Amino acid sequence: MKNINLSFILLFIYVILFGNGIISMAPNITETLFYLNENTHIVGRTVYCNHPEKALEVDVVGSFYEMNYETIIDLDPEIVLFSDNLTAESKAFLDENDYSYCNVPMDDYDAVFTGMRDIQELIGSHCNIDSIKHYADSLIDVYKCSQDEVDVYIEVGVNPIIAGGSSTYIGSIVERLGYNVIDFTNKRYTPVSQELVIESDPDLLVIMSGSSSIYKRSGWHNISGIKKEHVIEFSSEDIDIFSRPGPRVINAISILGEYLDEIFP
Amino acid sequence: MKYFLKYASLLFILTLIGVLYIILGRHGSISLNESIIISIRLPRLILAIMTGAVLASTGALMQGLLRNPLADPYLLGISGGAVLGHSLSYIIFPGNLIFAIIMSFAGGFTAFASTIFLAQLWKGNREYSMIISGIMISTFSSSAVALIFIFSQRNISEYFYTIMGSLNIIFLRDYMLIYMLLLGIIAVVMILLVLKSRELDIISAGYEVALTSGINVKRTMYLTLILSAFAVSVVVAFAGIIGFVGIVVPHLVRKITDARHFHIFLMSLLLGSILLTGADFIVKNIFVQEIPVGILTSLLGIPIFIYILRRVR
Repeated sequence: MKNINLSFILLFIYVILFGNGIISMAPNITETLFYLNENTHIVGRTVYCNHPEKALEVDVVGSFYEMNYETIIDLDPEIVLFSDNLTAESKAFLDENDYSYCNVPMDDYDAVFTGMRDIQELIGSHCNIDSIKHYADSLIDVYKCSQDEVDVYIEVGVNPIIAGGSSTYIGSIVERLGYNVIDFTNKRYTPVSQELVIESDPDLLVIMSGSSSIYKRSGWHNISGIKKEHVIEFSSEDIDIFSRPGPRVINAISILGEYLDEIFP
Repeated sequence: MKYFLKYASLLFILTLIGVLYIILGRHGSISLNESIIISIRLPRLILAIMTGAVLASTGALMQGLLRNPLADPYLLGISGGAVLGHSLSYIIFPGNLIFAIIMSFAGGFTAFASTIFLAQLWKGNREYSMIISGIMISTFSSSAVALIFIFSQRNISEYFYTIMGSLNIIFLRDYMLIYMLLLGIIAVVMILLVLKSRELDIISAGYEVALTSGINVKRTMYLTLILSAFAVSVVVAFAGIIGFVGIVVPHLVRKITDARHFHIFLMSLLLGSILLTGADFIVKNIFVQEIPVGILTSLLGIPIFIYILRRVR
């Protein structure tokens, strides 16, 4: 751990002394950078980085997995940040051209705070992440599940159906709230058949695939959660928050908590 | 009697696969959940039978009509064009089945017309020029689909299963009447195409022969090709691109029957259903994670396609 901290401190010194700016290759990293220090010199972002609004002023250097190599060379960043999306091609390019890069995984609830701390060490910020974590934990206690065993199915994709497991960002929040996320496999995201979902008979369905047809699906009407109308259908704004693990974790807990409060008062 | 036995055998195999499809779940376990059988497996089985039947029989029909052993809806660009139309509807009016079918037909028919037009510009081997044109149109269509997704800032991976062909689709209860109506329309189209088989026999013997025998060749060709493009577009709107069924099945059928289109068409219809239902049964139940059935049909179909190519040469 000490070694990791030391490397972030060295990177921080490098950024301060020689830096031309940071390139963020993930929307949640961009959000975190702006959240921790509004004046951070971000010179590049992905096409999907649209929050906060100020991010839109930054040059686009690629999509989530693809980067425009010419633009990167042109911007000459001191560091490029990834969030579990560093491809072999991008890595080879950055190594070849001697660019510093760093992967900051923020896959689940705990990793969000670890990642925020790592980025804080990199850019320097007075933000108290421990107090944010403390507030998030207390919010979780407020919305904690009072029911016995409640099995939750999380749908993140619809064509094909992709289920999110307990180790995903949303899954980890749901689990912390005291619900049991159905893991169809040991992977974070799994394409599943409708038959599997019906057989697992969840008590609660969280739909963040954007599909609005959950009650109309053939064969799904016999699922306990659908019969009792225990369905949370996220709006596009909610999906945006839940698909970007980062500083909006407080909003994520509040949104989910409010929905759950309505279903299980 | 000879044909009766062949049809009876094909029907028996189709029934057997259908029963296994209905009662068996993942990894071959017997699963008799009523809701799953009636609402999930039965509609999917019907879709598999319909898709296999349409792709194989229209492939057989196109091979006869265009007198090209390499013709099939996939290689002639119809499936690719239909997916292009479908992708536009997916972005503009997501979830609107009727619009999706109209757009698929528009895309499929335009792609087919473009393939024929391009092939006529070529000089040289007619069979190959048609296929090369079809591949060009398919490549154009898939590039256009990618562009549509990039410009609309959507992730193309959400459309991956449609591009690769999958029967794992969600049926909506509100649309049940429309599904049945479409099934009826496709059945009527198939019957109309069977009724045209006698004329196709004569056209296959040569356009000059057909003209002297009093057949309106142009009308027959246009009608059958439009009906075929429509049927293919409907199945593409549901299942996406499932390749090689339309070329492999008719060639297998020709091994067990004579050159009459009536038998080639009907047997292709049955064998196409068997092949796709069997392939879907495998991808649905055997693999740890369900894969698009189009991947399996392509993996199985390409070696047979190469064999056919060598014979054409």
